[in-house]
This record gives sequence, structure tokens and C-alpha cells, in this order.
Amino acid sequence: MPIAGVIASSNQQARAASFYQIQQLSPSAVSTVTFSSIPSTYKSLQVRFNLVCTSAGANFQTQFNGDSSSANYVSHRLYGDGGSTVAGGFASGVFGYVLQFANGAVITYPTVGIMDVIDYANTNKNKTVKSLMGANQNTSTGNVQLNSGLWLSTAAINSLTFAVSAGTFTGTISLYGVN
Amino acid sequence: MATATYTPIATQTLGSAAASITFSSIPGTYTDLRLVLTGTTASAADLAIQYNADTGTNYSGTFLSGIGSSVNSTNNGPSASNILLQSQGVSSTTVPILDTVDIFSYAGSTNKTCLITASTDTNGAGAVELAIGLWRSTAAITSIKIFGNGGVNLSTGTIATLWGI
Repeated sequence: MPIAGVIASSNQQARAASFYQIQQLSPSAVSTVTFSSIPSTYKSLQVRFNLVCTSAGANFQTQFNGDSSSANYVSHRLYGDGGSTVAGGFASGVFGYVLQFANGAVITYPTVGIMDVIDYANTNKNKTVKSLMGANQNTSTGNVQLNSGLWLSTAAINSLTFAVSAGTFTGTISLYGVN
Repeated sequence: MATATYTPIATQTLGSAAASITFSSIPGTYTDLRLVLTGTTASAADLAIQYNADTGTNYSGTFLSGIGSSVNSTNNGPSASNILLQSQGVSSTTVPILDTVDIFSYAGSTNKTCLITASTDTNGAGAVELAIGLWRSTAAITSIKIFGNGGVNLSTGTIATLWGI
């Protein structure tokens, strides 16, 4: 027979949990990783990463569901490199991915970031992405960026590919589901 | 099977003014840490953090700052003695600031990089900032000290929470 107090307590704990690790990868010297078979049971996705790159100034880029059509991706960025600030946008037809951390990666020290994919399983709307990324290597070289992206598709996202434009990366990248 | 995470490790609320808040004996069982700080200070100051009581010149950072109608980017360092949480904005004696610090792979063997957001609006002045901080050490982070740069005290009621993700 249920004990009312215990049920109430456990229900409260269940309600409190809203952030779940779906998968964690530990890539080593690769240029791309893919999270596949992403369940559609969350409201949003969050990717968090700590990656050491081999090519300074590399871009990070994200594709959904294996779609590489440049007609379907839009990107905006705002960045500071310790001296100058730049804002820019790329309409569809330029890149076959969401462009992130443009020219930002450093070597030796980690590049880190958080990417949120909102309402990723909704089949009635296109998919919007926001990311914060940065790297610093204790010289005058540092870069921090706020990026947004749009995937012009109403398909539910079931796979996410994360890549660098040059060289490889090693470290940790995790996919979380948020309710 | 997905695992629930984003767990509060500890919260500290200052019952009286203090020079710093320190989280120690941080367990190494999470992938990342998130530090959330809101509070006021005895006088306007930049807040800063240090890891593992390291006061050496092993820190650096890069800022992207919006101040009113202008924007700029600056570096902290190279070879600074702490990670600054603000560059253009400063804390206030009356209006709480809000800082978040995401510390990635804090227990791993890479050097330690964090992402910072700082909100320091004081009704007519202030800034919003995004920053990156680096600690050139491969040691696992087991403690974090938060303090007012230049020895400025944190005021009563300042709250810091450390989360594990």
C-alpha cells in the first residue's frame, strides 16, 4: 500500500528533474561526431563540449538529420577577439550547416561551448539554435562568440552532427535533453 | 537510458559581509560545473574567481561587452592572477549583479576553460558581457574562490550556488 508521504516526496523529486544526459562522447582526433537516434521526448536539446583542436582558427559547424543543403541553413554571429568586435549574418544558400565559432578555435587549450536547440521535435516549425562558444590561449589570442542559427525544416531533429572545418578535435561532448 | 542531472552541489548565502565565498571539496563526479552568483559589494568592483587556491599568474580571459550603446572586446591577461567575471561592468553597493560561470570538464586532464555571462545593469549605467576564462592547469578543480578584485568585500545577502552537470 502506498505511503502518502513517500509518494508525495518521490513525485516532487520526479518533477524537479528536468535536465537529462542523453549521450556523452569522448572523441579523439576526429573532425566530426554525430548524435543519432535522438529521442523526441524532450522540449529542448543542449550540447555542451570541451574540445582541444589541432587547427587554430577553425570553425565549428552543425548539421541536422544529415542535411547538407545550403538552402536550409542560416547563421548569425557576434564576436569579440580581445581587440575588435564583429557582427555578421549569412542567409540561406551560403553554408550547408549552422556556422558557429567562426575562425575561433585555438590549439593546446580547450574550446568550449553550449548550444541550445529549441523545440527540436516540433513538426510545425523551423528549428532555431543559440550557442555561446569561446577559447583563450593566454596570449593576445582569445575569442568569445554568441551565435544563432536556423534550420529551415519542419522535420523533427533525430540526429545532430558537430564538426570542425579544419584539423581534428579531442575531448568531451555531451547531449542533454531539457523538459 | 538518459540520466537526470543538473544537481545543486551547495549554496552559500552571506549572513554578513565577507571578503570571499569559497566552495571546497567539490566532488569530481560531474562533467561540468555551473556557478551562479548574485549580490552586491561594499564598493564598485570587478568580481573574480580563483581555483584550488592558486594565486599565481596562471589565468587569462577574453570579453565581449555591451555598455550602453557601445560594444567592445578586451583581454584579461595574458598571465593574470585570476579570472575576472566582469570587464566593463562593475558590481554595485545597492543593485545586485548576476554572474554565471560554466566550467567545462573541471575534473578532467585538460587545461580548464570557462564561459561567463555577466549582467551588471544599474539603471543608467552598467553592462552585459560574455567572456571566456582560462586556467592553465591540468589539475582537477576541487575548490573555487569568489571575491571582489582589489579586496572589496561581498555584502550581506550575496548568494552563490554551485551546480553539477
